Amino acid sequence: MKERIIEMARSYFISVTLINVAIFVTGTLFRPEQTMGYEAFLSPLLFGFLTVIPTMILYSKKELTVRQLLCRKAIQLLLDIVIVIAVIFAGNDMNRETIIAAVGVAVSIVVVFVAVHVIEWMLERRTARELTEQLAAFQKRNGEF
Amino acid sequence: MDIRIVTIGEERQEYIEIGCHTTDESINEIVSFIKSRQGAVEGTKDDRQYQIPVVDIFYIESVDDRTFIYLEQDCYESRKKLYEFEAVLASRRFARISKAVILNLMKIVSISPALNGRFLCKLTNGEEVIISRKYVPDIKEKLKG
Repeated sequence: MKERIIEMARSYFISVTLINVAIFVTGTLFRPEQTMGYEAFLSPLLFGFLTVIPTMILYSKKELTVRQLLCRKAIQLLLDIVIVIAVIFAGNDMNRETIIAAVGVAVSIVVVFVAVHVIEWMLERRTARELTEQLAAFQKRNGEF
Repeated sequence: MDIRIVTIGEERQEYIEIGCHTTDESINEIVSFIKSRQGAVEGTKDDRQYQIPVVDIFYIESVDDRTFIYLEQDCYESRKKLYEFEAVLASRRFARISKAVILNLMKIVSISPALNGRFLCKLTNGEEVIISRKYVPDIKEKLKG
């Protein structure tokens, strides 16, 4: 459980940083005239939190196969999109502008989702490299017949 | 056949070297004997009992309450539970890498990142097994020792 919490915290902070970038890009594209107060600084934290909640579906008592994990990741992405779009556009009129903005948000969620996984993979690659080096030293020390 | 015993310094790893023209049956018998001196476990295959040298084991896996011992190419079943193997092999070069698998660290070629904080171990026989995130700290600790 401890590892799961550390993993979620790491995902959260990477997500918050990338959501900031996504808000900047989508805001500049779709609502360049918009002005906001200080409360706007809370929205990346809130969206980061909301998008971390669906990672719960990755929890399993049994070790997931790669296929099962990919399926659950796809569901996680779908839930992220549904939750964020529901929070942003709840109560809005369904017009052309709203739909275009929602699609833009959905695309930015996919981009952030992929970017978070790429960054995590790079961090894990560094750990894997360290493990392989430690392993080589271990095998050298303990060489057996 | 000449038998030579050379005393080496404490700083060097002990080894046995056999000089022969060809690796025939008698050489294989000597090798099996030396391996068995380093410990063996009992395994069943096709209703026959075998003594499996610990150094030949790649990994031990528990599947649906049954325990299987995997060698380079063969697979044997054991009556022992995984936790019993874990206790027996604790002092050897084995480590628990997931809920269901104990792995011989001497059989790993490389470690690479898999999805979701897990790692993929490539073994010397080409097989791949997954290290769960939960067991990574224990493995790191074992590799230091």
